[in-house]
Amino acid sequence: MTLTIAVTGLNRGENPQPGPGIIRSLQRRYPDLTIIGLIYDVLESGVYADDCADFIYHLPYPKAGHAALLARFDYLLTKHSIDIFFPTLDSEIRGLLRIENALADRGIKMLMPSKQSYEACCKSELAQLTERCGCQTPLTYSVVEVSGLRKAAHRLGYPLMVKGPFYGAYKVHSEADMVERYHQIIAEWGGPVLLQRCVYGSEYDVIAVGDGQGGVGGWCTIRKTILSEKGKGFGGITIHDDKLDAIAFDLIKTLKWRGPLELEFLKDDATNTYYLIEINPRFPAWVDFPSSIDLNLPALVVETLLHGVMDRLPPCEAGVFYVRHSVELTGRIDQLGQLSTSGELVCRGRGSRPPKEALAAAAVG
Amino acid sequence: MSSCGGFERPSAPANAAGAKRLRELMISDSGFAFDPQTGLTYSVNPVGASVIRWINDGLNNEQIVQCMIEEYDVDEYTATRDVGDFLSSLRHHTLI
Repeated sequence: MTLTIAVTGLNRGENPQPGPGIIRSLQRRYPDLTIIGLIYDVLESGVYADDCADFIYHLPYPKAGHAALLARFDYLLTKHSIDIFFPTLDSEIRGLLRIENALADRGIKMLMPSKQSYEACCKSELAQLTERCGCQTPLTYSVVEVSGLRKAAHRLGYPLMVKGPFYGAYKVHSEADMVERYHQIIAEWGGPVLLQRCVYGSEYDVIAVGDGQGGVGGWCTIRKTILSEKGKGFGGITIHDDKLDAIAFDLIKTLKWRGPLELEFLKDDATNTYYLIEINPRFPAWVDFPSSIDLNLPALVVETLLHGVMDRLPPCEAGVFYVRHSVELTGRIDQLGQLSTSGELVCRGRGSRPPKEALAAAAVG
Repeated sequence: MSSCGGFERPSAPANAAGAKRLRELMISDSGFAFDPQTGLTYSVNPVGASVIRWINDGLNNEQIVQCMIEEYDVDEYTATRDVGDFLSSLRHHTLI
């Protein structure tokens, strides 16, 4: 069976998106896969990577509304039979939950959380969620106007974190910094803006796939070893910590999470307490790292969507690490021109693919 | 080598969580150590690696000092001081 899978989030620049990692993971398992790369910007770097998508199509921004998005999918379906869609960006999820059934009616499957699960994991809801689970999150205030900033800052003290509803997290040391970042976030992503107490310590991430009933099909836990200036994890090492795993499993169970997610924690150096910082309702950019050590979570999603049941994968080995490696990709002006004017580009047959998994090799041989 | 002498195994250490972490510490032949619970890495010299092994074998402080004297041909004062320093370092990293 030849699958066609659509994936968004192809940019691997300073703020890397998960799309290319998902594609690489899927190519490890399914050598004959057709990948449709869906982009919002013609300069998303994955467009120009030889081992990424077979076809590229432009998508309307989420703010264009679900009718425009559905119309675009209807057009794509005249060109390809899309079996599965992996949304990868936080800003896409809410809109896609509204058209999940409409896409399913068109034969496009997604493994998504319920609307209730999604709402419960939003940044502004984490305090309630952690209270239900008996774990910790830093003290956070949700602010919708400038006057609320000073009041919240007075309670938290400086430095503090200023965070957007989807993206952006800045440490600020003064009122002037705080107000500037507030306006920046409002202009880029809208409100509410969150002010959060700073916690000092190492960052830990858990990537997992939930089965929607409270169970976990597979997971991998890392300590971030390299952080970019924007706080992105450019390196990490796998760990086994029963305490952290128990917190993560409890959160997933409470949320009855269905599909991929990433849980971000900070461990307070002084108290060894884990604080839940964020839950991302999709795979993170480092999703192909576990796939390279036999924990292929994107393939688990595909198998679940194809067969209706979720397997249970064993945990990955501790002490394996990744470092992110940036390279320059080459594009031709005719590619850029075609993509800019028509919103689509054929890339098939451009280059090599990652090595197949032992599983796939065994199935073939 | 599992331990340097025929000592009796003492009762469970006070910090059971730390003892578990020390037992699980992955130490390469070159002395590079990885804590799989925290993801932190350390470097230990061959003497430190021996002390960790003796702790994991269940020896108490006096027995470890005795092993150090026998294994590394040092006097009791030096062995006591070095073992004390190393145990403080392990305690600082909450490994014991």
